[in-house]
Amino acid sequence: MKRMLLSLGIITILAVLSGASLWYLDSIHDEISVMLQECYLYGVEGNKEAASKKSQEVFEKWQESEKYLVTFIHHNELNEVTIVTSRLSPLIENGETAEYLAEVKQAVVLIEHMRSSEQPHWKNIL
Amino acid sequence: MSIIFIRTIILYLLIVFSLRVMGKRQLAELQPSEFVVTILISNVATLPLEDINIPLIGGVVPILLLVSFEVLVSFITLKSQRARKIISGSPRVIIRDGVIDQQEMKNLRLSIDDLMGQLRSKDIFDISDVAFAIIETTGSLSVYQNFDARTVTPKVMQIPQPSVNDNVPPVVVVSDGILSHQSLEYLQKDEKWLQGILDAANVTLKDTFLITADRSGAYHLIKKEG
Repeated sequence: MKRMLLSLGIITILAVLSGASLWYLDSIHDEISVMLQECYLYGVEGNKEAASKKSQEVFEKWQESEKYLVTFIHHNELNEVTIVTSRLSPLIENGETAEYLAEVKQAVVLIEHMRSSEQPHWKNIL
Repeated sequence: MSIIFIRTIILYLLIVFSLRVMGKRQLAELQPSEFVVTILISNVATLPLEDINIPLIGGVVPILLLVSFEVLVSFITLKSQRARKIISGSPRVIIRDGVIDQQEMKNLRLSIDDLMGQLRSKDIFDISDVAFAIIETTGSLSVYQNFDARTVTPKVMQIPQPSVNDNVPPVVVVSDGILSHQSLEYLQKDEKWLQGILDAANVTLKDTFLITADRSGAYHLIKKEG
């Protein structure tokens, strides 16, 4: 009986942690996506200072959340986003607007892909 | 390399914990589903060791879930005969009244060599000595021999039991210099009795490797070497 209760407890805890990880990933995705959209708009408008500042904020926010994401997301996927977000600020500061916008879009796609591949949909399970 | 080192220790402890939760000690005792889970656990555990890009939780969660579900399934099969039959199957008689059921052997994909090998492992070299043979759900073979092939027992020889203590097995009283008070209590003896044994052998408790004894007071003592 003790073993059964322990097993039920383990399954419950893992289910809760699984849900929590999905929720956290969703919230990070939503937050960073909004920030990246702002970066893109600033880039299009030619507001380099605001774009650079916002890009730096994105990078710092990503680094902070990576500490938790690293426990359940494949590290290679996280590294890709880290590399892309680290390039944003220097690119816009050096006037590489086209590349900057491309990198912003890439970051958006990478984060969206990360979120969608963690969702418990049939296409991911199979 | 330090990451692999630490992960290996963590996963080793987790696997030991998991196998303890499963509650079996020997491979021979495992049901087919438990055997599969054991193999799966060992394979899953290697994933975060082979590739440090995979989070450790990628090994921990599957192991814990596999073990937990296995315990749940064991509980269900314990309570439900139908579930037991579906998951573990049922024992199959392959020799009945000395006659081999060849169709059953075909169903089980059991060859003559397999059968003879299992009989030899039970010290049976003559198949005509076997009255009944059953393949258990674990795959092991249980054998009931013909009367004239069975080992002689006191019951058959009508030898009366000399003492009630003959039904009580010997236990380990001292193991590597450490006394088991539980064993002393079980033998209905005290430390004075033990000291008498040690004095007779001219040895201290610390220098004793092993003492086994039964309720009649018969004991076996082995001193530590070196």
